[in-house]
Amino acid sequence: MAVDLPSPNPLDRQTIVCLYCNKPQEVGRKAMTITCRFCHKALRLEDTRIKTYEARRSIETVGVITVEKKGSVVTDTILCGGLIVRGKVKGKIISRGTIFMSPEGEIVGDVTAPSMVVPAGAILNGHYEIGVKD
Amino acid sequence: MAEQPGQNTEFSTVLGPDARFKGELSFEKGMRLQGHFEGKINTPGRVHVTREAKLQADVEAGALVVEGEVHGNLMAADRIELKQSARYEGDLRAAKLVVDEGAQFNGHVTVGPEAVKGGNNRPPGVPGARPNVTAPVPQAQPVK
Repeated sequence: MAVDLPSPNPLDRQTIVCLYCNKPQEVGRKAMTITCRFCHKALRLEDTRIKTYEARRSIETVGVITVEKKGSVVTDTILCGGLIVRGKVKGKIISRGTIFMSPEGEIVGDVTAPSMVVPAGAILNGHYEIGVKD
Repeated sequence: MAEQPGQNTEFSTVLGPDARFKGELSFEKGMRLQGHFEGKINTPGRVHVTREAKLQADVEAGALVVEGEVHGNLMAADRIELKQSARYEGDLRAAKLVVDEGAQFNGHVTVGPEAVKGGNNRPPGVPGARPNVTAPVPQAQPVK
């Protein structure tokens, strides 16, 4: 007897790009962590919101990191899918997506990203590689 | 190309699209660069690098708007604007920086009110360079 299984809803899946091997893969939309099926590294998929002072060795997520106005991050490396800076960030940043800054944002450290939006008033200091293709 | 009304009041100097300049240039008000420029620019006014322009120079200006291709060190007392079509390589120092999505840039960036304090005595290529100030060395006192 044939059983009609519900066809997988494409809205339940999303395509992400591995932070380490840059390979795209489809994952469940509700997944919070996965293991890359190509390089076998653990990947966090959640968006992260930083509202206070945080000092960490590294922050790595495929999602978007938001540093709020009162947030301040001191870290060696930030590896992320996107970044919104309304507070202060000190450390090296590698973003796979656009970095958005607000006028009161501050970044001290080297930055690599495909594109960046900076309004007047933001404070920047470091080496920047924006939109530069390898 | 039709001129917009009021265009010449802001940019009294225009280097046209078929012009090629090599050397050092200084002026008071503003300059619109549409051609090729190689050398050095020094002005308290505005410099507008249009989409078709190519600038290969060290620039010290009041304000800079970049829409074209720029290689060199930029320093602006007020602000630097990198528009969507801008391609920039070099070291940048300004009180304010505005970057539109899509602008490409590569180099050391120092932006903030502190970045241009101390005037033009800091070369834009030296990050964090400070004027050479020697603190007084305390002299040894004889033990009583």
